[in-house]
Amino acid sequence: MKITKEEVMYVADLARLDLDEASIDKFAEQIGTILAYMDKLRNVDTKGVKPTSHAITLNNAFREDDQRDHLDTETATANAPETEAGSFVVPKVVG
Amino acid sequence: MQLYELTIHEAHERLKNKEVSSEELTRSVLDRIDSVEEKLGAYITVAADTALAQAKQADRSVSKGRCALLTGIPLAIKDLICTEGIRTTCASRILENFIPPYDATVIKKLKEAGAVFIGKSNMDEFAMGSSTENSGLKLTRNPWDLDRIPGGSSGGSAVAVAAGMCIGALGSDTGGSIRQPASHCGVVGMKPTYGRVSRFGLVAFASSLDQIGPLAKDVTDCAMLMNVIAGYDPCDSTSVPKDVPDYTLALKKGLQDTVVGIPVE
Repeated sequence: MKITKEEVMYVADLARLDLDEASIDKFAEQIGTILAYMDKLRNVDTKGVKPTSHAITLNNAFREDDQRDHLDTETATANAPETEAGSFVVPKVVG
Repeated sequence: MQLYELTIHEAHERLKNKEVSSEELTRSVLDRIDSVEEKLGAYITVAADTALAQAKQADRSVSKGRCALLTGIPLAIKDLICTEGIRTTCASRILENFIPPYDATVIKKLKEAGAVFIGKSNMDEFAMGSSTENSGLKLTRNPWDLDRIPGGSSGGSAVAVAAGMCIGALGSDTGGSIRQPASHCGVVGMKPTYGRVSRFGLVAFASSLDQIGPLAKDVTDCAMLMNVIAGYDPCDSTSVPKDVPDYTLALKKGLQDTVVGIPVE
């Protein structure tokens, strides 16, 4: 698959990248090579192969919503530079 | 041969037969760190006091006839795996003073197995890098050639294993961060299958790819570490509820029927 210079400029614009002319040519060629490799993968015969989303089937991990022992407030806030009444004190960010 | 050069299985045999104590082994590793750390920069934190206390506890356990595979074995832990009471920085100035209030599941398992934690190894900041040059705290060098990188992001663990600054180590691998530094430093590293090892207490890089795994001096040691750290954990919902095999049994099969493929580039 061929990538045009316009497509590289469009993607660069979305990524807020300012590319010079030489880089645009270079990336058009490099991205083209990557996409050509994807085309190669398309040639693999996958007839009879089931789509795989994960190597191992996992079901949702549910548990009872019961009360358990966790960190106490003092331990949980021990790393905070400043605490008050068991809470983290952070700089004010709204006016 | 110095004690710090031993593999896990060699050290285990000697500990079990009471030829050496964990304290002697741990002191040998700590002395080795003292003499080479300045050149290599493998560790962010060396926890000498707690390591010696754990070693003495392991020796008491051995004297009572309890010597599990990792009892009394000094290990290096990559500095993004939470260790209760021991600073865990992720090699970042942001977390320079962070002391985790709990242990990662792998640490809990290793503690139950009687392992000794020598210290926390250097890495690329938040595991984002492949050379350990991107640590916010220090530079790690390849022990085989100080002008070369050790690979990364688990570079500190790989160097610690290669240079005898621990007997075995844990790292984490998202896109090569155990395998690549292990290769650069000439040690054995393995990324376990996703879901095999709990990531509870691992500071995430890319959660759907991260795995904790062993770095070791040989394949047997790798299997021994896997036997302890693998397994389902209710605290990591992506861990797989499957029985853990005895990985050391696979060592007996040999490689005669194995085909190794190398892609042509």
